[in-house]
Amino acid sequence: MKKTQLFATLCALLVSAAVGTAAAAEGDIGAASVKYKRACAVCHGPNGHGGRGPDLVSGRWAHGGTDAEIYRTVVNGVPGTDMPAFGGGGRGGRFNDEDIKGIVAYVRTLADKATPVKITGNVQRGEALYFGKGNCTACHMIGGRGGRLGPELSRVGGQRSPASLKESLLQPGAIIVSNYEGVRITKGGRTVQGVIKNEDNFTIQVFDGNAFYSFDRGGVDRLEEMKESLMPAYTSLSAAEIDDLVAYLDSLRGKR
Amino acid sequence: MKLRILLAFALALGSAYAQQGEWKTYANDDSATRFSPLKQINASNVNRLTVNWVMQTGVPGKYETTSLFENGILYSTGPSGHAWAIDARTGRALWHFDRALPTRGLGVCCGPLNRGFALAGDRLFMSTVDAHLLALDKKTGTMLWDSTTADYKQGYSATAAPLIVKDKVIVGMAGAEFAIRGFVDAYSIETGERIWRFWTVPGPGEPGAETWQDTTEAWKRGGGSTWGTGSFDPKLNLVYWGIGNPGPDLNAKVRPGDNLYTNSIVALDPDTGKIKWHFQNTPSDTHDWDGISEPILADVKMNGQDRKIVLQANRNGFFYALDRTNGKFIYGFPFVHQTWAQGLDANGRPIKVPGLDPTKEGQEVCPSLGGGKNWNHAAYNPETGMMYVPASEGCEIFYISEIEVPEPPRMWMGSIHERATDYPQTGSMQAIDAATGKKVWEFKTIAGMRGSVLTTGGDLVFYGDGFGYLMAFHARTGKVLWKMNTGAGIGRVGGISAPPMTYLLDGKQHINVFAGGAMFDFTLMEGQQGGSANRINNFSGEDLRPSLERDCYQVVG
Repeated sequence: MKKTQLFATLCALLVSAAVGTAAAAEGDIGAASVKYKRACAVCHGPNGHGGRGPDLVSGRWAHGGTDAEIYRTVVNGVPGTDMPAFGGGGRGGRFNDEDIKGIVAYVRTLADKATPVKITGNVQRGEALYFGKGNCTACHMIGGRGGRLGPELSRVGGQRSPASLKESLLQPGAIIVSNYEGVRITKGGRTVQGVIKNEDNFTIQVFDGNAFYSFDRGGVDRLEEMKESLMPAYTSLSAAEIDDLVAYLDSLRGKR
Repeated sequence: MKLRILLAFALALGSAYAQQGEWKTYANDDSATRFSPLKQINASNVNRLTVNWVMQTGVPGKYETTSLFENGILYSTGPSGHAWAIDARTGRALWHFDRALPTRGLGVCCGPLNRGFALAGDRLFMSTVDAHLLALDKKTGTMLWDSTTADYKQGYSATAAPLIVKDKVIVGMAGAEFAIRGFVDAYSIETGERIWRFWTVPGPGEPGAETWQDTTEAWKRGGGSTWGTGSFDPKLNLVYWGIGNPGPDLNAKVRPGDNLYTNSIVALDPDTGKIKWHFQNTPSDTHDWDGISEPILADVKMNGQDRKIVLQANRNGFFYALDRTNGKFIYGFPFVHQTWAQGLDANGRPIKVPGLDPTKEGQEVCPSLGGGKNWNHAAYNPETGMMYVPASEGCEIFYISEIEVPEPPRMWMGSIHERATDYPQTGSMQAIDAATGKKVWEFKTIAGMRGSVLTTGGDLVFYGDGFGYLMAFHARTGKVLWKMNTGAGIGRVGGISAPPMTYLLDGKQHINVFAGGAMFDFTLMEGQQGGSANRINNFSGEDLRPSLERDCYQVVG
């Protein structure tokens, strides 16, 4: 369900919202917070801790961290990524100059409120855990190594804050990135479990980490959208091991 | 003499035939039914429906228009002031009209939309988002007159298709999010001169003014937009129109009282613009539940009695049947999940659940701000006696903020809102028996239904969804008989927003709809090769072989 809502929220902005949606009065942080929640939170998280999109509170900016640079990124988007261009005026769900300045100011307040988690773990031990006991490679790829069921993590350190990484290890269902919601489908005695890559009123497209499947909704015996993430909660690891994993993940900046 | 009579008879038949196959008003009739008696395409052969042609307009934006069809030509408006005449045999444009719109100062909540033309004789009429009403020559697209309905700099705009009633063009406006006072206008077809105006918010001393119990002249910016298209009963000589939300949308503190005639259906005398009756669906609204849904006129037998009724699936989540001669409530019920009313009283007035107005902390209410049904049109089929309602489920968290009247054309919602995150936003196509209010069938969808409906004498219901599918249901059972992915799916509020329509040309029935920025025209495939459309459209994933084995997904692998 989460995917449905996030997708709907994003589209409500990308497409003109004929359903009568509208934002609040201009010019204040309160209004900007609404715009942030409706346009940005879907990917960057309600508190800017990241998700599908990068963390906005860690102080690390892949495309420049000055107000002018962030403004430019919002206006133009980032080609080749999921970050759309939000510039182009106040019509059609895009933002005008004042809106975007307000959003930049609001993002700054998120950073002020954020309580950073210090990196206390050991990167090498974390890497060993990742490729060994943690079995993370079963589902996540780094630098071309590993599985495909979960999100690729080669740049995750630049995208997510340490706090967000820790949360995902201990409560994987807290943020489920779009296109990674779990589903279990049974038909004719066979069951496929995987992530939803796309869906509509008649069909659903599923990836199980190896193959793609496409089903007519009316033709399956059972379709179960999973509320929890397919990723297990790593609560069996010690606090120190979690810190080591966080340190390793935080070190992943796409250079491997 | 005999020959002359025969000739007259043949001409009369010919004209009836042509009339049957044309689509000359927004909803195909004055009753707003979106019903066509055409049945060449029907429940037994709709699986042979296939694309006849596609016309890419090249104009970006959202298409919510219903095309008109007359004598081989389709007349369509698009977003941002564009319009076309199109050869229905080939999909080639015959002329293109492009209205220059102001680059600054437009107060439009939801984009530079337009929902279609009205047609009278050789003239086409369209609203523009800068709140003008235009008359175009249908042969050339030349503008014949341009009437200013209101000042766009004050927040007024217009998106709806006008309605022709006798010698007048009747048209609504939009802008209740911008501190305006709403109206319905009538203009001379001939000259564009305004003949009457019905203010949807009464001024001091006028009947209904007592429902604005403030000392701040809230009526001057009381909202009450009229951004849908009404209906007309020539025998009763009444025009019916749905009125939108009060302003500011979500905060009633500056406008205590019921706020007539916001969120009401009104019946107007088309000759004078005088109000004959009103029925208010949502008094003192605080959730932006515009009552602009089309008032559909139907003649039904209820408990053995012939009744003239008006039907409406309202944005507030309730479905209403009223006596259209006098506005008296007949029945009403919630057609989607709602939490704001304990029910309706004997007069149809909602019994509100106390304490559900927006708060500073946020108050969750269902349905959502978009409502159980928005502008997107239902249809009524007199042959099945059913109304087909595209319904949306969902909730929203509504907040209140300090009231400060802005300088126009700034938006003035009086509050903010956001989607509640724990209630599923789904939808359904619902078939409702007009005489009884009983739900006959329902087709559930994974997202809200924000498209519009066409129903035909072929026992069919057509609908375009937010994923880009055009589909045909059996009108009596709800079974999906045909579907095609037009590729217009750009999310759950995108896809196909325009209503499908149908017409007869050269003896062949067509189905026509805008999907994305393209007009799609469909006819039955020649011969008996059934199912070809399904082969094109419906890559089958019914077996469990990984799709990589099949051609359709090799690109993915």
